[in-house]
Amino acid sequence: MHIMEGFLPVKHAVGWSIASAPFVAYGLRTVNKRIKENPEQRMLLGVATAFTFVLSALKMPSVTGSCSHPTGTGLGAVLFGPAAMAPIGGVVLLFQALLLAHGGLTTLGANIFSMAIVGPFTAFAVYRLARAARLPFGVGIFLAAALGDILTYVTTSVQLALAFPDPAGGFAASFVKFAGIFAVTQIPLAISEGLLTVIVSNALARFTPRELQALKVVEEVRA
Amino acid sequence: MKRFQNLILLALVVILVVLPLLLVRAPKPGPDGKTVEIFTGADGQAEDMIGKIVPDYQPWAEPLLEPPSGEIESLLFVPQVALLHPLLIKRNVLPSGGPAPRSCAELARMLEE
Repeated sequence: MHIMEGFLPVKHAVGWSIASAPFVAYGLRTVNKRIKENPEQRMLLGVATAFTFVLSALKMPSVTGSCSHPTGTGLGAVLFGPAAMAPIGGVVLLFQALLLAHGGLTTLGANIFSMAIVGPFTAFAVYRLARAARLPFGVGIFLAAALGDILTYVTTSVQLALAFPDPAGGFAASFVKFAGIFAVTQIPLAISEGLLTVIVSNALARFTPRELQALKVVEEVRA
Repeated sequence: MKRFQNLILLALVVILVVLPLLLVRAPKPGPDGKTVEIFTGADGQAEDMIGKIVPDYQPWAEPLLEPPSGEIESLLFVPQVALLHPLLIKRNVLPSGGPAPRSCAELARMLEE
């Protein structure tokens, strides 16, 4: 889902940056406020950041014979809310653009929009819906992380199709082409991301049950 | 079941990663003798697709620092993760304010408490 440096026309690069900026600014304020009021949550914030950093750089093989990577943003979105993930995902994407040549500075806004905004908002909404439907903790986490992952890649396909519409078929034909590259490849990876997020969440529920309760991720301390 | 849940989930992830490696075989080299690469990145394939849709598109910026090879990329990536790891154990899992563990056994004991 990293759109490479220079691979979005200037207008699109600027447009997506403007679209992402308010989310990053608002997210930064909520994170700062949270850290000030609950300094002990800094540690979980670190876990969520590290999880995103590692998973979004981890290229895994898929049944299609291509490699792609998860996003890791579902965990932080469930823990801290979707807004917090905009600056966190933004920092991760900035590191990758500067140090690993994954994505770039000109495409940072677009990549933040897909991975650090659409993905986390999807994950958060899915998790809350799952809890409202009284689905078990693990099932909710799994669905949240996996669907956030898929929607991130759908967003990238939309962004590329908008920037490079097919000369014959326009946006729709182009979207089918880009989604064709990402969609099938991403399905097993999204399942892996869901499972990995459940594993980490289980560990957090065991070691830091009070923090999860304070963050309103779970209702009562689980034994 | 609950006890083994994470182990089972981890095994599933391993299966999901290993299965493609076993199932997908590189196609035979074509008549032009070129071998077909498998397990290339989807991000890179999207980049190639841009070239097919708009053949005359010129990227207008270059990465400031591009790792010259996959090996150098892992050289940059792995230490970043390795540096992050002890930071997490020290600051995140353990009750804050307490003394840092001096050994693995001590760490395990602190985690049990």
